[in-house]
Amino acid sequence: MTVTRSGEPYREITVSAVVLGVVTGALMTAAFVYIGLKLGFGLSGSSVAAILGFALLRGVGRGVLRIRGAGSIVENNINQTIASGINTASSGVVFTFPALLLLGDQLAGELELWPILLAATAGSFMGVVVIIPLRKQMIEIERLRFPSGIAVATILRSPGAGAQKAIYLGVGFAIALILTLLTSFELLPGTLPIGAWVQSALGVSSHGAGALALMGTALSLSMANVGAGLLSGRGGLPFALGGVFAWWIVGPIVVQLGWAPPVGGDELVGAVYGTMLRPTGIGILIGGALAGVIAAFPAIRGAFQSLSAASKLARQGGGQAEELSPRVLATGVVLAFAALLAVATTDARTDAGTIDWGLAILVAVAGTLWLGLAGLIVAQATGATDISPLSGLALIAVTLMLALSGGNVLLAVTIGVAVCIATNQCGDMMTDLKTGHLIGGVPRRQQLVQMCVAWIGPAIAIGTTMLLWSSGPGGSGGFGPESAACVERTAECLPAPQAGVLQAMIESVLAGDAPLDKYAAGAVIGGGLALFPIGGLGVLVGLAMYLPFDITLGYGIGCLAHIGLDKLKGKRFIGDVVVPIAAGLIVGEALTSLTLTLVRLVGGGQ
Amino acid sequence: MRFVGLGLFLVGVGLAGVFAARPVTVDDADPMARVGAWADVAGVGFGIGAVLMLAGAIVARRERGASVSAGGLHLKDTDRAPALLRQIEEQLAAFPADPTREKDASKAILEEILDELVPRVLDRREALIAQMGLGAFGEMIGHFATMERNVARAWSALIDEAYGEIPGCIERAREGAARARADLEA
Repeated sequence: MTVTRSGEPYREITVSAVVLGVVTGALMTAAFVYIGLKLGFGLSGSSVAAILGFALLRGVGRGVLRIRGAGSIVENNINQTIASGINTASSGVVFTFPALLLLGDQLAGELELWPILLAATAGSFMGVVVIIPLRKQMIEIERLRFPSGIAVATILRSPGAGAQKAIYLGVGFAIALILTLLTSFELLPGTLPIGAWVQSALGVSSHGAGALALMGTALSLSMANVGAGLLSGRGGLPFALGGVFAWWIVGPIVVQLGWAPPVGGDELVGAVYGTMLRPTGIGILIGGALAGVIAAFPAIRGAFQSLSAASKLARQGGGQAEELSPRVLATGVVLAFAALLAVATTDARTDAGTIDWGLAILVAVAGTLWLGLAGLIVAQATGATDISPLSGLALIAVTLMLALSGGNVLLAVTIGVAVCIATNQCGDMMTDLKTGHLIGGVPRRQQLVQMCVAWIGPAIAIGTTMLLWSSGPGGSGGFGPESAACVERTAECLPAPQAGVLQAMIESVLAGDAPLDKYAAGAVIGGGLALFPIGGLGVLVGLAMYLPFDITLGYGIGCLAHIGLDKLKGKRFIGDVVVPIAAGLIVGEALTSLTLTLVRLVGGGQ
Repeated sequence: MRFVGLGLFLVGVGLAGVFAARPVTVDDADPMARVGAWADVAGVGFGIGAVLMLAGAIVARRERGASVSAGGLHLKDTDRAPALLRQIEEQLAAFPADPTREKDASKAILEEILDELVPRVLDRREALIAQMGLGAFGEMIGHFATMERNVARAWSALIDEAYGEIPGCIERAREGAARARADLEA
């Protein structure tokens, strides 16, 4: 908390903000683990926490408890930083850990809980510390947009933003609310199959290159997606063009050359996307991110130097630097390595049952390096588009670990848990820092509070998963497609779809079907894209190939609308009108989806 | 010549992308066998695409460098960045000593900086990187971001009526703006 010249403190890190953030984050983590096992998707909690913060910290604190200055903008920012920092572990755990429980007897070793908890906690801390040197690079130098960060900042700033901006925020919220309700109750399709309509109108065959270009072209009615594009503007355009490149150039040529399976319609779209575009996109993402780090090396080195200089100056002057020092990063990396090594020693065993130290060290080194690189990729992708390629990066982690360990699934998935949590944590921390930048929060304080609570999310997420697993007959088998509830088709069925996806991935890798050729070729293309003088091109094009076209197209429409409005109306209009509407779209869809999901779960429906 | 680099690059990316997506089937469960099989059938086409992509990227970088050193459009834009920073400094100097009495005027000054002047400086980002180099730009933008963050904090404090917080923020913002301008002028 800063003590001002008048002696009155400006409330930032306070007991009430920390307690509220921890409680909200813990509740959301448990709830989102359940939702993830039931429905197969994760949710973001930043906007929920920010709005709750207003109601409780500002409303109750100032209005009821008469605490002077309670619920300040920067205090509420700390609250949402903590809540989302805890909650972010839920999707990382749900995607990976349940797969181990479902695999059960197929695992070579015995499933122990502590290595998983240790790996998850290491990943969570690593996710926070990796961001230390990247904050300057991505937020200050590259000026990545982090659309959700802007949306949350818009909510936090709303008390002083004026009635007009509040109206625009409400308009965006209402549009998203209505469309989400309409699509949710199937009064409107979630995705408009524009290309299929054209194909049908023109009578084009469902086989061949033209059919792929048309049938792959669809528009998602996700308003959060359009909102993210509206906030990104020109910087996000390569992402939209990447989708065009994938679906209108590469895909049709591949079909024309006869390289795609001889099928038509949706089957053709699925085959080209699943076996060609998506894996190549993952490779491009990785290559683009790696080359991006090399290209940005002078700036990253500069960031390290300025961080060191600032912390040295602060030590000499007795003050506080605005950011954590590189020593924290170094300590975090060493601790993460030590934790992964400890995890590896439990799972990496020779046939005689002794620890295979060579393998354990190799796995710990590769795991730590991949944690850092995957975190960087997710932070860049989230910053440019608000979309995180979590499953693709987890797949690479598991593939890499299976290759290194000679098919040790337990070890591979345990490291996968750490990678998933670390990458989510990176994306969340960076988004929170963007919010902080816009409202005047001190980065060091945000990093510190998130680091202090980094262990809570993994513990609650793993605990909740175990609790649900042990609710089955005989104390196990509480979820999964083979669980008693799912077999009997009762309302308690938790199919754990993401774990099923990971299980299928593992089986595919073990069978030698991992598309390493696509990853490798994609990585070369990603490296080449990063050489072109447009920042982040490799990551954006890779992400576009990795995703279905309906998402990319909706985002692209938002980007084009931003560019057009900027030219016609100017920067001030973007700030005064477009930003609050876009923030309303993002927050409106998130809150409506969350409410609908909870209502359905309470009502017992799916 | 302006679009030669872009053209080569796009053709290269297209060619490499198509050959990268070429499927292969192998009986061997060894993952490297898949890479070898793919290289046999798609390696040449992919290689040509990669070379074209690389050549295009190099030409595009040179074209961009030449346009900057020739004092084209980018440099003219860049020249305005120090002037914008001077405007920010002037606005901060004009910030009321007692914001409690002139809340609306104080808010208007901070919003003018955040919504008008900061985006105009950032519009010149790419030209500034080309002119200064990434390392020097990183140093300058660090000071600029300090200014930006402190102006935003002053705005938040003003809305929260934490008036005592504001003078320190304005002082730090002025220092940041002055340092950023000094870096630019150097």
